[in-house]
Amino acid sequence: MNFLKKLFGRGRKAHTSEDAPQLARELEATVAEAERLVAAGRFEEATQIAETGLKRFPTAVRLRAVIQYVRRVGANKRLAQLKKTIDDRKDERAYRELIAMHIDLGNRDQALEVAQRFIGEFPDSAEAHIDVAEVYLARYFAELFARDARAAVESLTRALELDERALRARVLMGLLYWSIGAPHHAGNDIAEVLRLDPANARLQEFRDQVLPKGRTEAEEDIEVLLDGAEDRQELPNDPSAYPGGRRFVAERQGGALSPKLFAAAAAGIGRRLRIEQLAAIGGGGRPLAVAGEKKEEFVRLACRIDATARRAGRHMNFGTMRRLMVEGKFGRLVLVPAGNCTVAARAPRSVTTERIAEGLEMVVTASRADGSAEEE
Amino acid sequence: MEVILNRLEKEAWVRGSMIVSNEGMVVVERLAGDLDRDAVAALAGDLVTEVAGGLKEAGHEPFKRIVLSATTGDLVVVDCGTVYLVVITAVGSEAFYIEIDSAAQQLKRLAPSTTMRGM
Repeated sequence: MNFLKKLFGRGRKAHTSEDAPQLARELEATVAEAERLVAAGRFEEATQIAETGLKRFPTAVRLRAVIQYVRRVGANKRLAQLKKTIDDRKDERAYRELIAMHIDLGNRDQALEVAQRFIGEFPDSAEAHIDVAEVYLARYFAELFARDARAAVESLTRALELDERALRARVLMGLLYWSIGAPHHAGNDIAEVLRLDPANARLQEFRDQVLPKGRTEAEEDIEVLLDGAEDRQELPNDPSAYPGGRRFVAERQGGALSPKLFAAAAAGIGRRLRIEQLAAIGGGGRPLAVAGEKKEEFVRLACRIDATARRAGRHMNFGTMRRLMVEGKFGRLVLVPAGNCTVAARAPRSVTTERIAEGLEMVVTASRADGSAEEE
Repeated sequence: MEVILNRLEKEAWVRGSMIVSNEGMVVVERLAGDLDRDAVAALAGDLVTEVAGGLKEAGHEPFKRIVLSATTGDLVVVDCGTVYLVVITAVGSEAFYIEIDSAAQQLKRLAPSTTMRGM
């Protein structure tokens, strides 16, 4: 009966076990149709089918994944328009929108690339340097590599050199200092913002009510605090408690991966793409979810390789890791960073790396579905 | 071995390549100026050791190839028997693997497989 509840949602007319084969076929046909339309590039129709299907099968993970995939594609169209705009002419607004979109979509590397180009074209713009800092901060809060925080401070400092009244730079500096456990430093920046903008009620409230309760160190040695957060893969204070901080941590905080949804998505998407084993690993190498055969062995292997890849990213000036693929007689093992976790999958060698990575993206997207799905 | 790396070096997408023994020693290398020889060797050695160790622990066969894709390019490690071919590419594309595999095949003929699986 649990299976039926899970499949057809709560609060709906109870189905009997006799209905199950018929309804399962119906669901499978709906999913197949939606996915066929996605594959054909008919996104609007695919969304319609998936939305209608979700009314009947409210917890169908694969239908939810179709909708989220299409949303991402939609965003990509706007990204392409903005990219064309900045290719055609120097347009500060287009740059800023493009960077913000990349950050919101979690495309931090692309965001950085655009931001650096923005600085190249507008070297004396404090706003450009602040945008670069935002990208570094987004990356810092997702991965907690100290070098990103240092780069953000450098960009913010440059912005303040160009414009000492750049309030956004000070607000962001305060956000970083608060998060790493340096409320005294944060307080100095907040005081300066409030001096220039005394009507900022949210920041005032934060200064008066939240700031004094934050965890702090006796001596606020920024370097030590940054290294400590990187080693522990944990921040002393929650950045989302800071005004405007939620935007940077949505992926880390709100994007919690549901093991139940992961297992359901892995079963559906994994089967279709012939993925045999799947695992999600959280910060610090903590297994979050695993699906497929020989779960323990696979999660141990994935954790070990993930730790190596993270070390590589930290110590090698090679950019941020996009994915790691290992190939052998056992098939292909692919690891992909996904915000606050890494997901890994193993499939036969006949399945391309791109296809496995795409499957992983879909599983993660579906596993991070909104709260309603968590109620299962 | 140097001839093989020299040939790879001529490819526009290759930023560097090296041959590393299964003990992690650099046998020969051709790296672009911005790449740190020791860092690349250490990274490749670490990857090989951990991946090989992890696969063995999980009861799998040894790996044939590792591709670490990063924002600035890929790091590719190919098992060539007693040595590993490490290639750093500028932009990631599986199309490059044909060239890398060809170089690896030549290396395999030069350095046939021995007892290198104990990592």
